Amino acid sequence: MTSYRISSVAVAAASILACTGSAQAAEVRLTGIVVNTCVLTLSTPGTLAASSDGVTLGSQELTGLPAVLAVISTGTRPTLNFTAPAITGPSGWTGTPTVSMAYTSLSGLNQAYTTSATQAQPAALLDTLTINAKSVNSTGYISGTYTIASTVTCQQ
Amino acid sequence: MRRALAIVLVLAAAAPAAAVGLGPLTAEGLTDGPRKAFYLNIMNPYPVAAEFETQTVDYDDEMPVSRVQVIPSTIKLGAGRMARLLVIANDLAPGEMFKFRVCAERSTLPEGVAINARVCSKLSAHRVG
Repeated sequence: MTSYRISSVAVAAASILACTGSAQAAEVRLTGIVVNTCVLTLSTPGTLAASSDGVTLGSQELTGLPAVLAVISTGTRPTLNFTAPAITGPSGWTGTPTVSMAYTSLSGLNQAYTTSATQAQPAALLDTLTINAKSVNSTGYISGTYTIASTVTCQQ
Repeated sequence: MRRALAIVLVLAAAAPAAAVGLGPLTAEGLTDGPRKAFYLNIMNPYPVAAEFETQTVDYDDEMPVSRVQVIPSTIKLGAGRMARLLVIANDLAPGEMFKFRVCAERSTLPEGVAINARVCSKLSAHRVG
């Protein structure tokens, strides 16, 4: 709960009261209740690019970009659950790629590349995560659009 | 040659690609009947209108829960707007503590978006009577 005292208003009110010959203090309070909420905003979706040997498709390769996810929470620091990353590619593309994801955050989260689902709790109510992903496929990648996807869930 | 084959732009957008807000993240309540209602607030952080959908799932896994209604279950919100959702847990047995989650996410992600943002509220309804 937040409380504010606006002294300038009180001074003005006191001045008016003084003019009328009556001396009374007036207090103005503005209050608010903060509940637990979470807002996730993916400000930069991320870009995958191919490695020079054609085996890796990842956001940390030349011309690739990580995704950037802002976490805005109030009340209590939430938990973030990431599903295991999965890749989709053009029809006709074959192989058994190893797909992994990693992330760091301004509050100190540091998850190395992993193929598994992960869970993390930011050390701050407001945090920004930088998320990288990559796919390693020994038979390479044919022309087309590839997407490495994961769902991140914010909850208590 | 192989380098030239598979350089692909997966995503590129100036506006937020996936975003959603929900609260409170936890709520619990008592009831003396077979139903218990909760209110949740859903937020659209996008700078444009977007449609959001909700799912009701188990407290600890992703199994759908059928005896919970969310009204409305899908909603279109203007930029930066918030709306209230009514959540009703039905068929509570006497003495039952029913725990579940209500999750919200964007109905349709823009093409190429790879990180799907979702927020879940954990709710528990306890029928005492």
